Amino acid sequence: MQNRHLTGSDVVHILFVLFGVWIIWMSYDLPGGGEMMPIFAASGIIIFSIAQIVKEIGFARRQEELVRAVPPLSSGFLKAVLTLVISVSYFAATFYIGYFVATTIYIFVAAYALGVKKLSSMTLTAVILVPLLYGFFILFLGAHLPKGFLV
Amino acid sequence: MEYIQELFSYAVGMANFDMFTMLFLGTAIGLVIGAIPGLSPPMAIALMIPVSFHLPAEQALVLMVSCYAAGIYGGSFSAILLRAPGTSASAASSIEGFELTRRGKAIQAIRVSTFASVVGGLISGLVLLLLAPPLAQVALFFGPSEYFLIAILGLTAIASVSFGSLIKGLISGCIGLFLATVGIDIYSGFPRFSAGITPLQSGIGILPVIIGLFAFAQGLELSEAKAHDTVAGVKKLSWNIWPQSREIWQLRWPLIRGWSCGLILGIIPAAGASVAQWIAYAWEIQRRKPGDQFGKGEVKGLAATEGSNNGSTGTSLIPMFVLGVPGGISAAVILGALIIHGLQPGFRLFSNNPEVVFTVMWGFIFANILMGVLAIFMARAMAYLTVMPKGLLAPLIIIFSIVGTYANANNPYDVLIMMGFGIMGYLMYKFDFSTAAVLLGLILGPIAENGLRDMMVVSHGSPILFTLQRPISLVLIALIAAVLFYSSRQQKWEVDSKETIKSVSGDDLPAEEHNNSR
Repeated sequence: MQNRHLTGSDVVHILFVLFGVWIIWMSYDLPGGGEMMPIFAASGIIIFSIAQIVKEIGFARRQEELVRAVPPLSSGFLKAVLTLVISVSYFAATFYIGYFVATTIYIFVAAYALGVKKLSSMTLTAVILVPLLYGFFILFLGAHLPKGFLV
Repeated sequence: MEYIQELFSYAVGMANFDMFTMLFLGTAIGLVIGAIPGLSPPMAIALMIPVSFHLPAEQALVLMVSCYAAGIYGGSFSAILLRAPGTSASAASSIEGFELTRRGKAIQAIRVSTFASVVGGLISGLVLLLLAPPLAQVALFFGPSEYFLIAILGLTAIASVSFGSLIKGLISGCIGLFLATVGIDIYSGFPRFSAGITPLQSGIGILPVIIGLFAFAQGLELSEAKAHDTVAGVKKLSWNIWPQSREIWQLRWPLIRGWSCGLILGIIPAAGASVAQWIAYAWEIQRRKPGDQFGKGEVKGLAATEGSNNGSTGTSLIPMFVLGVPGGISAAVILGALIIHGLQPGFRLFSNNPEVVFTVMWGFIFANILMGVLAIFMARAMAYLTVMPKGLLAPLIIIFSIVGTYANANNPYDVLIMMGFGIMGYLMYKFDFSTAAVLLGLILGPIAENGLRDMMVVSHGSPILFTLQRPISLVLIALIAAVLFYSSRQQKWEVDSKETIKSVSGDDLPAEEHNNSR
């Protein structure tokens, strides 16, 4: 068998084993049979995680596949993180500047951050989407969306 | 005869404006979402749950099942026109479908696909309507051990439909089971794993989890692509897709074989449309005759794959309605919606809420007819939708995820939970874990826990001996073993089928969509 380094997949499964141990440790004091299901689930997590590690160690030829399975810190991954940060900020902003203004700004900021440079595409999307959201959620469903000092 | 008449009487429930509106909306949205590569029917269904929360259960579920049926068919458009399957269920169709497009026969391909899908879906819907009620009576004989084993069977089945490893699917299912225990224990009144956070004491809601795992995560995944990534351009085409009787007559046997494959494999948990299409296609290739052009645009191959994927849509709902064991990922999301609307699958669903369950089944049948009619009018627009840039799609999905979750209960905490599960879902895609298994674990967790606790009480602490004395439990254990065996062999069968296909077509197979796309 080839020498094998610890892969991202191994790390994930080791973390799962530790997570399972934590669940069992936390469950022991639960009263009235409340510990049974968490321990059952945790045992499954531990057993299957160890089985996966053993399976991967057993097949050295899977090395390439394992390396591929690790999410690389590529520009794509960083874009996903950037999208997440912008989306969390957008949701927080809806309570300060209002849902519809924040949504309009979000379309421009998120699309630009993802690489869309055509202002016309972004404007068209906003012009179609925002009235659609207003009509459907406010007029049709009567939902109460966040209101800030704007709308 | 009386029973059949009763079944037909529920069709009248579809004859009102509100119901037709839901049917129309679900079908149209399903067609559009299915046609866009990268977007999946489970994501569309997940986004519909908050929107339909205030609707009566039957209307909400009709909206979702029609979206499911149309979504599977919609996936064929991008598969045929662009060789980019909109859903994993149409991956096999892209081989012959795209070759037909390259030979200038795109309309013939769409026409055959439409007929095969509409009729396959109709037959599948009728089988669902006729088979599900008698099968539901089996649930009457269930005790605690059977309920526990049914939950385990469901988890095993859904773990095996993920295209990654079966073991990873099982780990995901166990994580779902654990998440179901978060919150106050209804037996002891003691909070579990809530870390002192008050909102967590009421447990983790299904809605934010569904939207997070299936929609928000997909938004994050799409944001990785290049902003202007589109699959290809679509040129002007003539769009007469009305079926032609001579063409259908010539294709009758491939169609019948495709529909049969779909009907049978759909009903088996863990099989479904994605497996049925490959088996139907391989079957067709094995029966090839001199002059057939498999791999170069053979319409028989397309008829079989399209017949099989929609032929499985209705039957895959049978185990979901009858036992709470979804036949595929879309069915798992629909099961979540069913529970959110306060309905429990099984015999009680058929005895206490027949008007809901039968109206939904009729809704599914009508949706298959409507999708054919809508396709005639929407085909051209759908073809253009396949070229929408991903840089705009990702923010749109995230906006709908956030507004959908918030509008449901005006609770910002739900949105944070949704985002948390979105991140989890995104990472799970990266490491090939199954998001559907987490969802099903969360849904089936309470059923499994009640079964386990009751079983401990009635068996006086000997659950294994108790279980082994019950015939239905033994059947369920055998089923779990069969699913585990089947899924461990499934990968080999799929590889063999694809090898057969590749040896004939001599071409690389198209990439399938991710495992959440059924």
